[in-house]
Amino acid sequence: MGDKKSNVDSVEVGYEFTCTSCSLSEKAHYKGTKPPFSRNIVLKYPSYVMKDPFSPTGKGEILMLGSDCSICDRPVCISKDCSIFYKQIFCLNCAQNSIEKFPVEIKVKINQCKKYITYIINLTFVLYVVSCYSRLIYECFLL
Amino acid sequence: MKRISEYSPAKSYKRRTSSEDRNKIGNTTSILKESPETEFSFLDYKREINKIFTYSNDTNTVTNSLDDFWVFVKKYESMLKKAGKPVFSLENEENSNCESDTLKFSKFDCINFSTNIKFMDNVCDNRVKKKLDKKIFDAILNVVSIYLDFKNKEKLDKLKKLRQTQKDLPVAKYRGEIQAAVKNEKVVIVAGDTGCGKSTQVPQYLHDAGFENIACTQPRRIACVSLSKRVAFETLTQFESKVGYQIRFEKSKSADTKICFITEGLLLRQMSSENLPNYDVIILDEIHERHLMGDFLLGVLKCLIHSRNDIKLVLMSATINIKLFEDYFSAESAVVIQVPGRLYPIDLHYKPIFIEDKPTRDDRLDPQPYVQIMQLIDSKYPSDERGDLLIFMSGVQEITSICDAAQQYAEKTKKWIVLPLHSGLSLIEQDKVFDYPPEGVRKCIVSTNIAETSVTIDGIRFVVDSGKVKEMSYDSSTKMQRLKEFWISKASADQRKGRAGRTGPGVCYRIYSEQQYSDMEPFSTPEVSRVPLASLLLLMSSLGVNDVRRFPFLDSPPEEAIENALLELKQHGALSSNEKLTSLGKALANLPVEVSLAKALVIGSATLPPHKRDSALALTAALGIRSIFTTRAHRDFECENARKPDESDHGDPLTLLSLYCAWLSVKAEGRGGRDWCRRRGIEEQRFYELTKLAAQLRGLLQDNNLMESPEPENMSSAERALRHGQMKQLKDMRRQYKQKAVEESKRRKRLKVDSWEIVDDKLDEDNVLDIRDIEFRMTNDAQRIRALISGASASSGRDLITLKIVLCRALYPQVAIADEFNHCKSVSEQLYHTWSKPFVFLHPTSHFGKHPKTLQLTEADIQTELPPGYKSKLPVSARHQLLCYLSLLETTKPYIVNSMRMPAAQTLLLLSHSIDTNMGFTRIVCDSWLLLEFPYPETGLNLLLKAAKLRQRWDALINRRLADANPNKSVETELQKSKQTTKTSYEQLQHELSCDISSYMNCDVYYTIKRLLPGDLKVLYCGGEEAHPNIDPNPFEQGFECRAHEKKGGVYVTDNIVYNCVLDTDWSYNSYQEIYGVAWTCPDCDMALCLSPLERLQHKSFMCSSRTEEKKVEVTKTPRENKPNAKEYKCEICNEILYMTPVEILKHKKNCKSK
Repeated sequence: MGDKKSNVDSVEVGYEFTCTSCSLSEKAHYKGTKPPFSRNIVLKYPSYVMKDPFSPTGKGEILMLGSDCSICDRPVCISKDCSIFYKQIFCLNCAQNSIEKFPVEIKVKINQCKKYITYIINLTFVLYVVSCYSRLIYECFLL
Repeated sequence: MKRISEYSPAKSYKRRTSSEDRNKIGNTTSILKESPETEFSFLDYKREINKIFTYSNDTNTVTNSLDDFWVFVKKYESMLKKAGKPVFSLENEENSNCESDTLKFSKFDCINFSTNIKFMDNVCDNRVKKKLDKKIFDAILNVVSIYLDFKNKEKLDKLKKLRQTQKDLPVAKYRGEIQAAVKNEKVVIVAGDTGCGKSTQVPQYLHDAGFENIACTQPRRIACVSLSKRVAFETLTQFESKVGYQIRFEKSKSADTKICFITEGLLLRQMSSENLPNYDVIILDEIHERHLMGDFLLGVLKCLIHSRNDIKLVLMSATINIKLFEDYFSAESAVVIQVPGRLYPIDLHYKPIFIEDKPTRDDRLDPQPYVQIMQLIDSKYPSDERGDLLIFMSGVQEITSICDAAQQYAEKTKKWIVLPLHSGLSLIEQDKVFDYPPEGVRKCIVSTNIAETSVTIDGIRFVVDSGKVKEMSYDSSTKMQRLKEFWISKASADQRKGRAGRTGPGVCYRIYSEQQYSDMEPFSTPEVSRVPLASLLLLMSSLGVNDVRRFPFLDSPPEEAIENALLELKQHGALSSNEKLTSLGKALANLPVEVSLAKALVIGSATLPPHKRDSALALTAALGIRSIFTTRAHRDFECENARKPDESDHGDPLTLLSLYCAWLSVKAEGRGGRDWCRRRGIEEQRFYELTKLAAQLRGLLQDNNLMESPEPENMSSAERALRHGQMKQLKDMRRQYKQKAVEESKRRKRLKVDSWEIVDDKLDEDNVLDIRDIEFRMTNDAQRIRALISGASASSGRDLITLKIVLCRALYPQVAIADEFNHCKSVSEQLYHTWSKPFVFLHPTSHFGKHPKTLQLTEADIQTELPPGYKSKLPVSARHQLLCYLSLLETTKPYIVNSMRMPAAQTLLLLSHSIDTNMGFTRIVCDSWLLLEFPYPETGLNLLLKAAKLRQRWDALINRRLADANPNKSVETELQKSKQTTKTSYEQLQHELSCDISSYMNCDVYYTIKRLLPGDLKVLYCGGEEAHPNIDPNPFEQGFECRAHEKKGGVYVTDNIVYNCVLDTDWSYNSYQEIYGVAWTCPDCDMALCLSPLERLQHKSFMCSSRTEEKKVEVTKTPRENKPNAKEYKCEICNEILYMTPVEILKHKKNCKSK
């Protein structure tokens, strides 16, 4: 019943979705939990959805791209290198920061993202070095 | 662009996943069998669950592919079993109830998807042992969520991969630069080597930058289709029409198409049709290939952007000769953006063949160096390292000899699969080069330069370059095309080398020395200097180019070629003597075939009765497409035999026509046709093309009012119902085919080591659906095919003669005469002479090349009892024949291609541009080339008179047709001419004309025919000194004012006939005197007088007191009143009141004064 209305909306309203982690950039047709293209499929957490570009139109197939992170509210795609879903969506960064709130299984999963971890380590290392140097520079400057 | 291979990442990705799936499924099923039956499985409830899903009345990922879903369920269950977890437990429910406990983990919480399909109890029935209850259903919904999540991830990965490949393309870095340049400048040149992605990406960039109507030209049709598919996929609109293509016979373009791939020729035609779609950017791709149309399009667009500020021009080329394009657009200050290609390093080796190495001294190609390279590769590179070999040769013969030698080597080592690649192969054979060889075996593709740019084969690691190419060149003065072997240019040598480094580091062997390389021309000759220009110049005139000589060509063609092409157009009547486009020329320019063929169509549609026009259409289309015969057709004895019943002894064009009709009747009976074609050595694809081309030409003729639009088909309701059912079935079949094609593309075909044998794949081909057949049957129902057959067949009688003369008129002056000594020469030594070029041969595959006897006179044909006084070495006969031909082609020898025989004198007198005669009409010279001598008095005169009258009627008919086609141009002189004919219906005129033509062509007149040499011409004419009295009244053309010919002497009696300019010989003078001396009795009025032949004629048509007089008066009076600008005029000198046009009044005044 309400389908037609929302369909019209979805044509008019488009969302520019850009993943803050992998910079995947697509035009989403809908944002929310009840994509209008497919009545019986609901999402637990509001997400960016596009009509599936790989199957003919009118088949009701959808492609969920990602959502805004429930903590930092930045858009992130559902790829496992970018986010983790547990009742809500978390970008890996936020998930890492609040890792203690997750059940064990999810903790393991978060830690499994080695790529991410090495990246974090590198980042912290760089930050550390920079902070050290900045102190040094600062001190030099003072002298 | 053509990169079929470039698109494989997506495909291969697909293939991989599906095969993995299959493996997993294989495992799971075996596990399932082992597991005890008592265990719970959702599969037991499959029936009921399916029911609920389908009743839910929604389309989504699950309901669209239930089968796939159950496969997934199976896999999922077995995974759980492996992990030792229960498939179904009440735990699920517990979990969903206690949401507050965040630390309690459920894997369903990791999934964003859920479904709200309602559970329905009423669907269960007693047949099912296990009853589905709500709990189980909820559990399955959880599985559904997992499935949705899984599918979604798969799709997202696909999307990400696509975006990654786009990003990795070298051109991606220049995205911003290109967008900015196009926005700010008028002309942008993007130069990048193959593989940099410009063809697929630049249109997208421009679309992203806000351009709404982008045209992108491609030199090849196939590239348009594949590119538009690829770009649609990349823009995620493969199921919409945002990206489309438009090629000669098909288009997939709609109102919301933003990016359209189009062939160069079609864009040009769009420009000429004066309603150029509202493009805001025109991208010209592959301009470095320097095709005729591409070059011309550049010139046209260069002019266009000066008048239209809203159009941007983007040129894309390989990094070949960018300077040329930059300079060409220097006035428009073109911006050049260079994109580096993605080429791996290539090892280059020069391996020239030294003369002393050659085992034999003859010119035959020695395949040894090529085989040696194959050996080298075998010894140097381990066979588990992949990489195929591509050998560039110049022509088909060379390819065959290399293939044979390579095949021998391959049979020994079993490490190679040898595949030829050239345009003469059937499409199935061509496609083989894309298939994969088995492990440890390499492909060896022996190709013409088709693989240099047009076809890109992936996985090539080794390239062998012979350094030669066979190229067509054109001699405009003789109108002969030449296929000759040349050294390639440096640019194409580098292009060939580059083919080795597309997928990884490669090796290139050049079978020539470094010295030879440095001696090569830097760039290949552009096509514009190598092909006939007539069609192009005609198109230019129709586009409104006033002076074609001043057109800004990128590379100007030789001046001589332009002049000759203009002359040809004037001869055809497409241009007037002051080089303005005539209405015929306008009609010709609209037809996308050669000028002479277009003329055949226009003449045909004016001359032939409506039900026979299809024959002209089919004939033109058959001559307009590439040869229908495969290479096998003329080698295989069986093929030749199979074709024999359909071979016409009138010549090759008619053989083509009768083969086409035979094929149509095979189609009409629904007997497939592929097999029929294979037996005859014919490429069936060509027949489909022929059908499409003929339909397209028909459409164009109808659009231009040159042909009546067909009446709506009247089918009975039963027929309509039958057709409806048929269509439904055909559509089903097409859908099936498409599905199959999709499946097939997923798993690429694997080559067998002995796959070069064609024998084994014959069997399975027959079961495969033939998409072209299906499409053919969709557009042509049985009735239509029957109409085509009856329209296209012209096997005998009047239809055949009319069709032949129509074609001959269009092709004239392309006629050839046999050498006088042919009767004592062997089949292969038969010599012919054409107007432009003496000493040519018949092509050995042509009908007359095989049966030259049909063209020769038999003993019985030669008249031996000659009138007294006439002596000649030449045979006197009524059966002399000419060959009318489509083209000349020089390969090893100059050959006549596609020839047709015609009765000589009749054809010449009807079609020659200039006919010169002596006083007694016994010696007639046609086009200062052929001399006809008529030993019997009056026969020559009668034939010439008939011809002249026929020609007038025919011209009038054609002019009337053309005038009716564009009625707004009523001021033109042609229209006035046409209005002179009284308005009898076309059909009646056509019928009368074709009757008269056929009786004229069949009349028996005895004569000799002789080719005049330059020496003969010097003493042929009496010269301009002797003034000849005017012929008044003029029996040849009423009202034609005679004027003297300055050089030859004599006077024009029609536009084409010069009377009394040919010198008499002793014999002809005597015969003239004799005729004068003997009293002649007029058959109509029985008056006996001593008159010369001309005077007799004048008497007959003007003096004779019988009824002819009245008719003439009627004819001369009525038309004058019809002229729009005629007015009443009273001549002061002769005191006559006349209806005349201003021009005629002036003429009349002058005449009167001189009297």
